[in-house]
Amino acid sequence: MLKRKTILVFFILLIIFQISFFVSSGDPPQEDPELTLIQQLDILKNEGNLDYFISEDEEFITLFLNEGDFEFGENSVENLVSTESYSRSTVKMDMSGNVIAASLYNEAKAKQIINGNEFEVPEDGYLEYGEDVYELASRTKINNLSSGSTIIGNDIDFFGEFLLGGKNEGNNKCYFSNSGYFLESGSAIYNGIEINPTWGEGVLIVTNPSFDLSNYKEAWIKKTEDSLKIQSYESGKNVYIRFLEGNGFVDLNSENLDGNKEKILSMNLGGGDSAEIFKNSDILEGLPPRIIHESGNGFTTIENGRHIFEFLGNEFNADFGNLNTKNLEATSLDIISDVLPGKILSVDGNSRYIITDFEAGNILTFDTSPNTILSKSFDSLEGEKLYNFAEGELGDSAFRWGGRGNVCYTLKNGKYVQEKIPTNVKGYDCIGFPITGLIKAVYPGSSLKDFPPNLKLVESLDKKGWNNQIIEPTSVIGERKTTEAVKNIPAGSIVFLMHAIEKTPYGTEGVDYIKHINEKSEKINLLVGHTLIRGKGEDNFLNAVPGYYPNLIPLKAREFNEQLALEGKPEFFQGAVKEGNLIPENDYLFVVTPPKD
Amino acid sequence: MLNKRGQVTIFIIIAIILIVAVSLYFVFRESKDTEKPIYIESAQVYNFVQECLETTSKQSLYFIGLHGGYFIPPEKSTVYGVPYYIYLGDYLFPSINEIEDEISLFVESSLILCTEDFEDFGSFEIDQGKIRATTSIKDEFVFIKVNYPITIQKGESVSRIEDFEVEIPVRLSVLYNASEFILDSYFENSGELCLSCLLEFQKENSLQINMQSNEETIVYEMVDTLSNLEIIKEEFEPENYKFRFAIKY
Repeated sequence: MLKRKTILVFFILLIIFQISFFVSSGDPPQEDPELTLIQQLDILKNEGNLDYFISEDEEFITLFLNEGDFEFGENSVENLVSTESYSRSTVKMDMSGNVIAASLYNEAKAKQIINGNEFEVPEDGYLEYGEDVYELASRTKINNLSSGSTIIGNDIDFFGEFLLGGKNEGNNKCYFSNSGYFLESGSAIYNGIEINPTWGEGVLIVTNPSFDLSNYKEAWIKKTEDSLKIQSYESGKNVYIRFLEGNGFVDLNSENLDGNKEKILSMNLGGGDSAEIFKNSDILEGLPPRIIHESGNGFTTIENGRHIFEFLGNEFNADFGNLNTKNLEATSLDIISDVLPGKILSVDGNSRYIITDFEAGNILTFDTSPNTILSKSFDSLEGEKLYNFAEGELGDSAFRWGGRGNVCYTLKNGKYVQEKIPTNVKGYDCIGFPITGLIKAVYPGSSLKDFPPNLKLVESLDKKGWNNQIIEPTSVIGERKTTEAVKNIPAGSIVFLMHAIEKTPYGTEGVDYIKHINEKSEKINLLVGHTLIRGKGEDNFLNAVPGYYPNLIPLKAREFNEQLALEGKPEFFQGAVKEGNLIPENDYLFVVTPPKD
Repeated sequence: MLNKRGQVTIFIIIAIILIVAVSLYFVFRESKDTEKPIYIESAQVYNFVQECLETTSKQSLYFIGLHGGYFIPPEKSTVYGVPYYIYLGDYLFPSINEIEDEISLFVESSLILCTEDFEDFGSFEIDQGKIRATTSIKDEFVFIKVNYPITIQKGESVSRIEDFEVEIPVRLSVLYNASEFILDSYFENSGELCLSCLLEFQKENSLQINMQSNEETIVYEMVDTLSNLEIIKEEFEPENYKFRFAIKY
């Protein structure tokens, strides 16, 4: 009986003990509040995770961290790495645990909290800190940041609303405060707007709506629900902004555009000028955004697709520098300025603009659509088809050696191998342009084999009723005769630009070169140099030109090239297909003209 | 008595002055009239030629306006004969005298097409000499003077007419100045166009300005909203006077 009682008491005590153990083990582990910072560090040091040294004046502690996660004071760091390929992470603190400087290197993605500021650092990243300046690895995300901090880095995301750097790998530097982001240098993207101040000038991007700007003397940008205002600094240089897709003000979506055309809208302000852009579509659907410009006797440039408008003091200028491109398209926009009192400038989606006086009506128009003032009609259906094909391809095609539209021929191991053009851009080289036009538009059903990419093409076309002639250069027959002859080349003709060579050139006669006796009775060989298609203007030719002007390369081709560049590969598309002029001084033109209707 | 004599003398002097003045008026009027046909037949021919001159002058101004001041487009022109005033930096702006000469050339070449060898005057024997025109572009109008010697004979009677003139109220001068203004702006602004300056000029002169762009070429069209040019042909509606030129960038 006693034995049973003893056993029962034992079990009861055991249960009570287990319950008390279970309850106590369910409590979160608590740090001993009595442990000082030094004691914490000693524990970590004894575990072999770090070394630390206290400065002689006993004001600072310097930690040398091994790999792993650490918590000290209010700070915590993760996934630190310490291998031969990385420097060892270090932290300098005061005796209260406030970090004064830090160099942290992490292998895996890590959340680093320094003095209450929280950073999500990507894998193989780093964080350098000292004197309220953080230098961060690309693609770091900031979740919390105290006012008065400065950030240096590229592609740094501030709370999902402000991206420092973006594509710009330059020295991007931003000071964060209660008023907003002061972008000291480099560039940033804020709500779909790229901002780029002149080096050393800086611009404040105001995010605090109650921040008083009345006495603020430097450049600033402020976004409200309806508008975005940019104020440049009177004695400062300039602030450049470019609207990106999804900016909320201007529709820059290129999906509805033909081919690879691109819409752009950018503004560059300096010297005290200001501008405010209103989206307007909230008032009435379809209304274009409106820019209200105020001159501060500085300057403002608005680049809108093919148009560049410039306010300079009290002058308003039009720069026609962007007219010669097929790949940019204007965005619909209204501009009102105190430089143009009582007037409004309206740009439409077809690159036209009108200046309207509120009293007198339309007083100035600018039109880019083709009309009879600048173009002539065709006298050959074949020529018209070929020209229309080439003109239509201008916006979406880039130069590509061996290019024949959707395919190209690349030399591999001494043989030409057919390769697909990789994006939705078409690729042409100079002779590939007309011969693709011949099979696609003029003689559908025919194939590339029917139209050789050399002078044999003349023979093929001759059988189809095309004529040919040679136009001699200005150095032989004089400028007037050559100009007149070029002017009279029928639209839609294929034109070979031929180099005159005295000696027999390399190649085959009739394929690569022809013999010719010119008006001066000189016997020469004419070697094919380039191939063009005669356009409608008197000196308007379509051709495939290798070049490196970004604005002339279609958007998709440029993006494809950029991706290749990131992978360390050479560019695939080498330039643009665009229009050009032609009054040769020394070269000859071998003109193949379509049959007249 | 002396006073009365004096009054009579004054009256006599006034009477003499009046007689002389009236006589001179008739003498000069007669001498001016002698330039005009004194016969009804020649008056008909005179009116016919004058009407032709007005039509031809209007046509010339219309054509010259659309072709930048040229009757025969220069080498550096667009496909449709709009001259380049700047061609890749070369300054090719014609002087006002050159434009006057082009208008005169147009009139000299075209007036004869209008008179059509005076076929409608079959009952007369008409000899015509060489047409010489001179043009003056004034602020508010263009003045065209033509020397067109015509001898009209019917039977024994012979008459001769030769001087004709017409004043067409178009402000070619203003449009010429507007062109010069644009070209000056081009050079002063390194190829850019000062639109605010142009708008100020446009407002002061009641113009409308249109630009047509085709890649590197811009055709400028200036419309004078105060001048109407009524071409006496069915296919032309009266319209504001226009002047075009091109710049190649």
